[in-house]
Amino acid sequence: MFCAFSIYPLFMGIGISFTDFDILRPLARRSFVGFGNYVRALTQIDDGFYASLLFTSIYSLSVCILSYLLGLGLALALNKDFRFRAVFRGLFLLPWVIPPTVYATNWRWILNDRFGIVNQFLLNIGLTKEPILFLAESSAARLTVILGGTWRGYPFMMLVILAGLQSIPDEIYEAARIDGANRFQSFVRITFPLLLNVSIMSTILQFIWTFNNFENIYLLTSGGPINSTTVLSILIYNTAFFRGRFGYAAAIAVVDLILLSAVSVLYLRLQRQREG
Amino acid sequence: MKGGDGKESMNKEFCETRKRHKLEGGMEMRKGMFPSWFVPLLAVLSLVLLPAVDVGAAGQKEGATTAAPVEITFWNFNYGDAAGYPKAFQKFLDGFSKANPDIKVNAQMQAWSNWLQTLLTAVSSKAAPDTSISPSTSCIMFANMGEVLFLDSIADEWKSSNSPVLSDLMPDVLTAYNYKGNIAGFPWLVGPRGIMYRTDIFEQLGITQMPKTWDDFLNISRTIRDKTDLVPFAIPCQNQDGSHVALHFMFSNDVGVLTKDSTVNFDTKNFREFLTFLDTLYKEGLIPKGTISYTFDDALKLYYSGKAAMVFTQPFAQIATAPEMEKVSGVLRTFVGPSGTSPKGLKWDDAIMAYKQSKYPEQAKRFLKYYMENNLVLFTEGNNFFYPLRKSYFEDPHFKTKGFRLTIENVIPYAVGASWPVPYYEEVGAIDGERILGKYALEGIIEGKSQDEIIANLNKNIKDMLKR
Repeated sequence: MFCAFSIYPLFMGIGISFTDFDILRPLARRSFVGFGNYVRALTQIDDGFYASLLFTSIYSLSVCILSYLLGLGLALALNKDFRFRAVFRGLFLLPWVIPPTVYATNWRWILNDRFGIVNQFLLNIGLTKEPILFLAESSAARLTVILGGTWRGYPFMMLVILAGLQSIPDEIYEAARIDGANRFQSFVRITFPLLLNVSIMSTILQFIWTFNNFENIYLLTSGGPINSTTVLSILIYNTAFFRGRFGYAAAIAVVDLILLSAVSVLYLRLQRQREG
Repeated sequence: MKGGDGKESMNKEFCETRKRHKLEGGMEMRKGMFPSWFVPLLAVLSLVLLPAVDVGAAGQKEGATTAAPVEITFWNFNYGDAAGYPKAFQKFLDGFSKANPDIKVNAQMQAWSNWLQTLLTAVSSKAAPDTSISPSTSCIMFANMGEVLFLDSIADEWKSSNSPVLSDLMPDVLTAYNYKGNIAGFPWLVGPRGIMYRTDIFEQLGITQMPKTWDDFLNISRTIRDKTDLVPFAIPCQNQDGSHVALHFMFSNDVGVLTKDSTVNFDTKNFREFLTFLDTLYKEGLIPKGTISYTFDDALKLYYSGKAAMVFTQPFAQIATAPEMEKVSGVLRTFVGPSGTSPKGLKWDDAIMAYKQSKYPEQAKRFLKYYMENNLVLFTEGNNFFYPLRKSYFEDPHFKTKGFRLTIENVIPYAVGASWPVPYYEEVGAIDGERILGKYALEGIIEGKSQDEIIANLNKNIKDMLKR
């Protein structure tokens, strides 16, 4: 099953990347082009590869950092005993479980400049004089998709960190309290170091998923305005299905794979160093 | 030997021992009987063979009495509302099944978003349905890929039987989607684009003359902006709708994606006038600032909720969601740009087609023939807001209602296909799907790009898409 659904498509895709396979042309015309697609992707600046790579990197790093910080804060809060804690734990998981289309449709309504509640609220309290064009202006759209990705990503961080927190024995905190440590010191000297392994693992995983994510941005902005939020996965999709250039799209996807593999190797080395 | 008790206990022990040996022996047998790869292989074989076994069994059961109907698949798209159109289509299918009991049609509704990718992926992976709707000029694209079942035999049948359908079809139906002399698809409906407006607002502001030129339209918009708090003109930009807005106004100024010689050149006076027109609409506040993020539904919602005076749309689309707006809505007559020779606007002709991959080509063609002969119910029920290509259908009271009547008078006579001024080219769907015009022209103007930059981007990207 693994071979059928993972290994075979992977090698098929790598094979296609060395051809000029065009989905709109009959199969008989497919021919081997060597590294031609890779050379094109890496040398033709205006083809959009580097611009997409840059934004994808910024987007992934930002979502990782922000979702980690938000997840950490919520995990620390939910680790305490309070009434209806289980209900809050369930509610905070909602952004993770709702389908991407529901997320995108709702946020488009919420952020609309004319009838969205966010702009209505900001205008009513006098914080802004004009509606903010969350999805209609390049810089605002980039920030909006980053915040959207953070909103979708924090529940995973929260869950993983919460599990890590619950594995820390209370006795360590008691001992620290006896020694006169305050909350901040306990966090910096006990909590954070003991969460480091879990934090590194979850951040790297979140980075890889966010780097490859397609639907969160495509459903919200389609990669616009004017390609300002086009990440690599959207570039690959447009190149394959609208330009018909499956070979070229496969080459970009392989470069994407190599970059993420490098990140994974880095993670494994860090793991081994910490274990060593 | 011991006494009776001892014998009984021996027997009991013997039976227990036999039972134990049976179990252990059985387990030992089971342990040695199947190698470790056997169970996984059995699981895989079951998955692969079970459907065939099931079909075979069903076939045997049915074969015992009558021949099973041939099942063909039809990929459909929704031309009405979510509740009504599928019901209307089922009624149509019931009629087909009654007339053709030897064919069973498995109709599957597909989503409009990413329609091109859906069809392209299915065809390329050799999993195409037998028949489908062909949005835009996709049947030509698939004909170029060698994947289309040509429909000439249906037209020949109509000719040889002097079918009344022939004289009832609009001109060009049999030639519109010809590929190298063969019929790749039959266009069966038209989706025109136009501008709906608030008749009560126009009356209130004393606007009595319909705009005939871009300048007339801009002046009307300015009057609405200055004298009301309504958005003068709501337009969609997201998905493919931004490109549709661009094409509609480009056509009115005699500009298409390709020139009459099928070359790419956006650096023309006519196109620059179009960019200036868009710039004026945006900078003077005649369209909302957030227009780039508006979908078709967002723009329509703005109009139907009474916040916009005019909207670019398929006229009276989804009017059932806002029936109170029907009384106060009208349709502007298509107007002409400063360098246009005549009023022109955009329309989409969708077709029906069959695929070469079909295992039942004759049955697929019979379904399409019936479809072309009997599709009135798809227009009159299910809130279909498109227009047929059968002349007699317009006699139905459905098309005498206000919205249809106004669109037939003011929009349809001036509507041209997306590939204008050339008859067709296979990349129409792909250029529309990637939103090239909406992205670089509409969004470019709104983002403050220069005309030179917009023209350079369009030339480069369209040429790139046309390279074959």
